[in-house]
Amino acid sequence: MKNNDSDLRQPNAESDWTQESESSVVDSILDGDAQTVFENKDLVDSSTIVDQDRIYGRNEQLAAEARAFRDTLDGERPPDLLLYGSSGTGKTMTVKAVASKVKERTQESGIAFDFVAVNFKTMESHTLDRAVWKLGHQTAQKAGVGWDVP
Amino acid sequence: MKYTRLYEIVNEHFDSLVFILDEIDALTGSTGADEPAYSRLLYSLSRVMSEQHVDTQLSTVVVTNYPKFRENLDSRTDSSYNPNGIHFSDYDANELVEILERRRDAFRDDALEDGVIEIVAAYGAQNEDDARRAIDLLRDAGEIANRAGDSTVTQDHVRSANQSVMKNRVLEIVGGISVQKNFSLYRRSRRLPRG
Repeated sequence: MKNNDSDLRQPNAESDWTQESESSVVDSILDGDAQTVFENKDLVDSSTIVDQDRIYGRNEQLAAEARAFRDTLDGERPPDLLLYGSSGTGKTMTVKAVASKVKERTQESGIAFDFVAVNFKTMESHTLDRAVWKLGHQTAQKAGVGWDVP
Repeated sequence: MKYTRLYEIVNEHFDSLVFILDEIDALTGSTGADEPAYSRLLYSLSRVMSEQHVDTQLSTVVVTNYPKFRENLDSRTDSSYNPNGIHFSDYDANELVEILERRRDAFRDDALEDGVIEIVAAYGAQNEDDARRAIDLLRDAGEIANRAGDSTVTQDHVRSANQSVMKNRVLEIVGGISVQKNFSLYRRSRRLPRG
């Protein structure tokens, strides 16, 4: 064991050889150019809210959502929506894209509008109690206030 | 208590608020309940709106892939809940290609080998035409290329990304069942409060 250890060291810089080589491998990675195939990884993160020019084949749905939310801009309550279809068909993606647009417009016109998105599948227990808690937690976050409910 | 605080926040901070309730069918509630928990949640929310407990214009967007969603609503919920339905059809492989092409600039110029997007779309079409999974697969392939120190994403990277996705899904299903079983056994034995 001891022999092996000394074999690894260079005879001249015995005291700091190990440390230097360890830090240089880290430094060269951290300081060097990023070795990555990605330019903007967020674009292949499915939770990113994308602009509608990146959405394909959902014009009909986007239009229906926009028509519903149009009411918000007129100070009216928009109709409730029920988006249905298989997983990964753009339900959440399109409605978040439209709601973000609406939010931009309301900011210009001074309406305090926001949307709170909650996914109930990712909760640890699927009870009503937990659902309301999570809804409250996310709403408080959007409002920028605390949610001190146990 | 939760409801009170929630509506207090809503009322104080928003003129207009949309709740996007994603995968609402997961809210099954406790076993043996006569109606699913999502039915009761929608009932509570629609009552707040109709009885004007808040001044806020409150509305809901329910997102579901459960075909029997409406059928399982309790009758009193169903009569007060009348959403506009919007249907989302499945994508086919050609549409998945178009979708992935619109994310191509996630990668550096020339970082995607020819045919990578097409093979990701083909796997996506096998995976129930799920665009989210297809996008995840494209990212995973990029991560694998990075780990190997390669500067381009190849079809081989896509294949190995798909293999590990398949493996994880099996582990998730098997693991998910046992964790839940274990937890309910644990809760029963310790009489832990729900929540």
